[in-house]
Amino acid sequence: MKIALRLLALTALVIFASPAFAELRVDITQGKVEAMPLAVMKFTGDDQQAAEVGRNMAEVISADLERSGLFKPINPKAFIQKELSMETLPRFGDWRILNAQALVQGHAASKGNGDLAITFRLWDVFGEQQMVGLAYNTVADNWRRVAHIIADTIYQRITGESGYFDTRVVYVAENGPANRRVKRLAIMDQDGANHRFLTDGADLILTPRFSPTLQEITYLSYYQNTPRVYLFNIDTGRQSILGDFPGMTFAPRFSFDGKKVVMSMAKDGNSDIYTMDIATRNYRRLTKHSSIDTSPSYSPDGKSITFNSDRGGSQQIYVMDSNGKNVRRISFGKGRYATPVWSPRGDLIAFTKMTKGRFYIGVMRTDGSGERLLADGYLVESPTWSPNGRVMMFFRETITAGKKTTKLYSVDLTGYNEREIITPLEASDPAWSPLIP
Amino acid sequence: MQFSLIISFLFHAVIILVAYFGIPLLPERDLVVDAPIVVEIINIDDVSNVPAPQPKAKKKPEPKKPEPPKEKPKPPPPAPEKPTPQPEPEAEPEPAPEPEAEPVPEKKVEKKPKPKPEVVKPKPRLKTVKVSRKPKPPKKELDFTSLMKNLDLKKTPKAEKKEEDQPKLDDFAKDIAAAIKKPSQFSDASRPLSITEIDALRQHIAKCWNPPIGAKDAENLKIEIEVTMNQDGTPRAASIGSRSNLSDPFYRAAAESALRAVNNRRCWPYPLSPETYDQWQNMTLVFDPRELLGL
Repeated sequence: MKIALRLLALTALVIFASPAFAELRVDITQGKVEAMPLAVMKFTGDDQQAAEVGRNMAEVISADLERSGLFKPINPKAFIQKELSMETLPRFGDWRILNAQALVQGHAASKGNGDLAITFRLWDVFGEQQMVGLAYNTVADNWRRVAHIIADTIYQRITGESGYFDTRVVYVAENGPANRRVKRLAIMDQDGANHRFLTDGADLILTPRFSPTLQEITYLSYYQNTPRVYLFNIDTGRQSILGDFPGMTFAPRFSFDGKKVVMSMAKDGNSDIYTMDIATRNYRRLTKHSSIDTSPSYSPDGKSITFNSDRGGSQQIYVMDSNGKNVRRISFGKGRYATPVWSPRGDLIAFTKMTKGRFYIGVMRTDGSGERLLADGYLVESPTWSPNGRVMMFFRETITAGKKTTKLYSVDLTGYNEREIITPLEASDPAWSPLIP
Repeated sequence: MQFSLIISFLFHAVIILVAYFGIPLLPERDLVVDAPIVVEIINIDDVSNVPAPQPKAKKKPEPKKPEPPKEKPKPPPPAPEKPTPQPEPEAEPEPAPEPEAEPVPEKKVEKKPKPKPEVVKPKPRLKTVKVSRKPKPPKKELDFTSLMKNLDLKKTPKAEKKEEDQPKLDDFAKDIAAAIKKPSQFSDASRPLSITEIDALRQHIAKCWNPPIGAKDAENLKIEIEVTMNQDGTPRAASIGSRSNLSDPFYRAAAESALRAVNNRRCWPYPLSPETYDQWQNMTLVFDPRELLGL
């Protein structure tokens, strides 16, 4: 009886209590994806030279953030508060009117001897508080890098992801007619500045790849008409052959720890995947199959390798353990798939896809699900990831009036922010560096 | 004698059988009719997470499409429609939700299948809005489902729609919001917030939320923001619900993006009617990017 009463009371409680006093919960499942409006104020300076540097830095930071597609710098002409010293709080109300969600300010102080002390603050305008405040000491000539580093810091603080502005891109610069094409290795900052050529164009250069840890590049060169994989140190300019192999080696790529290079080697008329330890130069064969296995790429944890193979009849993407075991096919869409590249973030694999006479750059999860095509063209090839796995660079060949032109482009993961990368000559085969140490 | 007894039994048996099988059918129909109207469905605020807000916005116009014959009569009869609400307020004194339900169903069930006949009181208000709005909503807006481009899909005209439609949706939401803001003679402070009001709020906040779509595992970045509201519909204080994960930069960035959505004064005040203040004085906004990613 008592139990029954209790039950009754409990039931009554449940019935009467819950609907009336449940706290209101509202699920927001939709959003408006748009670039975040932010204001980058001109960095102030102690003297004229420092002020000049400060102004340039603000421009570089602003351009970096804008190019990412995630930020929308507000035109400085619209600023209401024109002056702001590092020691005072911004007038947040003035910035809210502009809908600036974040505010960047900075100051360059001369330290004599040509050095600069650069300080900057990132403000949360709505929350009315500082998000980051940092200072850098640098030689004045280095201001561009410091600007990229500051842009990276802002990017990281707001998106949670490390930035990619303080990076370089190496690519193959091309010019001349198709039958006498000159291909040179070239390098530039991620924004196109500081461009220079690394090789003279005497030999054909293909597939340059950055080491994820060092400022070192591996690539394929037809030096003396023999295709071989070379290592090139950017800082010293030294070039060395990566091992002397019995067959033709191609499609080299570093592992994420920079200690190994995985590549494909054609021997006895058959291409298979090999991995080589850079320190000891010992190599090991990973696949043994009569089909063509090529374009290998390590996962960031070094435990898996993705590659493409026509073992199933058509060119498709496969993943295997790093010891060559447990090979499984992951691409099942229509068309052919090539050049899989594992994202540095580990969650996606970028690839080139050919279907119905068109080329696409796309991404899929590492199990092959969630395939999305981000860019297309008559020929798009050679995707390379930014070090944070958020943006890809690739090259696109277009034919206008019977004339082929090859250019570099970047596209972010959403697929909506595609940009052309301006290079002095035609360009192909880009490779993105890690963040500069 | 025996014969008549048997006849009698037979007839009784027939009657009992008919009653046995027939009676349940009759009331059942009524029940079925009643069921979808049960006011509780509205009351449960959390229910609003059933379908995505956009689809819902459409659903309302959709059911009307079947009506077109009726629509033409409608424009003139805004007057005839109003009588419908009037019976409700009488029933409203709320002792029993069912009486309320009954008068409504007959008219509404005809018009709308089942999904949302429940939107009891606000409806009359909304309806008048919608009648004028009708031309706009038909252009649908489902494309929101994925903010990540996929060239495969692009071949369907979706991608373009997206940009075109957005402003329209905004207008629509604004109208809903405006309609709801009007103090209504039918509003009843003791009633729970209705679904449409929540929808309007949801759409309103969604416009200010810049979700972390490109982040790694963004689908897991579900953020709760606890908000204390002022009576005028502006947030007084907002804080991140679970602070334990803040050391994770992705979580922190997502949490801050949600907080910025709430703190964005351009979105103040929220479209909430002051009469129901005690219900939304404290609320939890759950920012969940899953659907945006098309998952």
